[in-house]
Amino acid sequence: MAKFPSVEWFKAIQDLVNGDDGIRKLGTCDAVMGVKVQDKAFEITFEAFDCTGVREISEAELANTDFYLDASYETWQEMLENISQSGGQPDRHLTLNTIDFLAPDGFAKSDDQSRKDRFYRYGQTFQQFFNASAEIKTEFAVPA
Amino acid sequence: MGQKTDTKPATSLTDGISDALRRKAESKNWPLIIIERALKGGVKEESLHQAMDAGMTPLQARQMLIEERKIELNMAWSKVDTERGNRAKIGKKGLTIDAINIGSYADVPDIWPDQTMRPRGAFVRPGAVSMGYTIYSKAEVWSDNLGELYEEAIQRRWRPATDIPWESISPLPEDRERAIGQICTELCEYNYAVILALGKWVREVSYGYHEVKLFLSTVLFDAGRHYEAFRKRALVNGRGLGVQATGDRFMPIREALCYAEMATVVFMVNDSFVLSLYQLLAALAQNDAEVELFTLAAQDKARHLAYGVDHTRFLIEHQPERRDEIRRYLSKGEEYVAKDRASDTPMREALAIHLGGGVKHIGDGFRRLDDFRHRQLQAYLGRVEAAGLEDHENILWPELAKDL
Repeated sequence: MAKFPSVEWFKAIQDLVNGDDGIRKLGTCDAVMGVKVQDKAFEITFEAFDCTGVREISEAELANTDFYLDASYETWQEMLENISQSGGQPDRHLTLNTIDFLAPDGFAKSDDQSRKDRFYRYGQTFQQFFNASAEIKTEFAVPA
Repeated sequence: MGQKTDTKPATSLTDGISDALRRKAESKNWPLIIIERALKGGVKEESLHQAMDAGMTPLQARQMLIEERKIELNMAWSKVDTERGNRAKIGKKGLTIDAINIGSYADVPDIWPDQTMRPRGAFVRPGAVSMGYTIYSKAEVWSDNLGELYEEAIQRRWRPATDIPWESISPLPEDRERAIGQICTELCEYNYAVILALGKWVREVSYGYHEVKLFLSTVLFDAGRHYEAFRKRALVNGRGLGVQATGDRFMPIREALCYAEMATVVFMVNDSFVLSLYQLLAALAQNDAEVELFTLAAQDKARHLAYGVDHTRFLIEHQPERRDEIRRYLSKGEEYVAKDRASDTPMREALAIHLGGGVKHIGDGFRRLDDFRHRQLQAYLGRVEAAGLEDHENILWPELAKDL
């Protein structure tokens, strides 16, 4: 069981997607995605067909990512529980795109719109990344 | 054998073939053209007599002549002074178009001097004909991410017929079905306008900038695929298409007088608003097919925008005197987007029905449409800024500025 959010949790997902033919078939993806959960921040790097890096970063370093996903802890938990319960096929209102569209300030954030556009450019790849979490047991723990 | 062969050339020659040789060729069913070519190629008459007597077939004789001709090749073409010896590196993405840009092959000149179809780096053949291209300026068309975008377009392609779970579409209420039919009708028309525009301009780009031609070809194909896919969405349920668009926004695309104008209007202005629309349609999808369809279309559109932003930035950096010119193209595109919105009641109402969740909630839908327009405009201004044109909101077309 991996705790969300943590480097271990993201590395478990990284291991799953790097061995997954399905995500490879989506095509190449070059992006640095940030994830912000309360006061914790992570950087997930995608290069060609693989997720090549996962690390914890400071909140200030989120500015170096192409975009970062930022939502309340409750939203993260609802999304990931839904993915888990549905076997990796989230309900339509809990896809990354829909959460982004419905959130007044968006889910994907960046100061540079052209870098943020990578969220749309590789939308399926990022969705598949989180969908893979259905294959691990997640322990939800609100960061201190 | 045992039979004596008359190998002495006769004095009577027709087309260089002696009467004796002609008679033997006819008796052995050898076409005279082979005899003629062999003699011209230096084969002795005696050898031809022997070959026919030995039972060699005309086909074997022809093959023998071809082999001899190969030996006579001088291979001058293989000695031309093009760059050799730089081996390309095969990376994580395989052998990409950027990976073979090595040595002098990576040299993309600011002005391409050649009017022919000569591939960049190939040896010049004197006398090759002009192909009538009109674009020989790198800044007019270039962006540094073209190779990456081309490869990505190839890698992330999709097939509307089989990649969209069309079977997930069940009948929707009449108003919702009509609304999505109307939206898809207008998206079909937009993509058709893109096909028309790029079809015209891609041939104008000279071959020194083959990355541009390759990438634009993928955009053309994407636009064709989007046209196909949206038409399928409108028709899959039996409810059909809606009414034709007003088409105001297509005018500056059609009438663009230079490539930079077309690219600015398509890849900066219109595509920006269209990407936001794809996101909306994926977010408010009524079935898995629409989620997939509009997510995939958004991926393609975001790639086109990546070219639009980088191309504009490259152009302004290399020809800063054109900054105001590009702003004028932006304004022209904005003006016609605004005109389109003002006159296009079907699209406005269809979007409000979609956003409200049905015609009963259309008032709520219009309020949400205002919010959507605001976000759509913010994203557009963000891309203009990323392209190097700051503070564009101060000169935004007035009718659009109302959405700020």
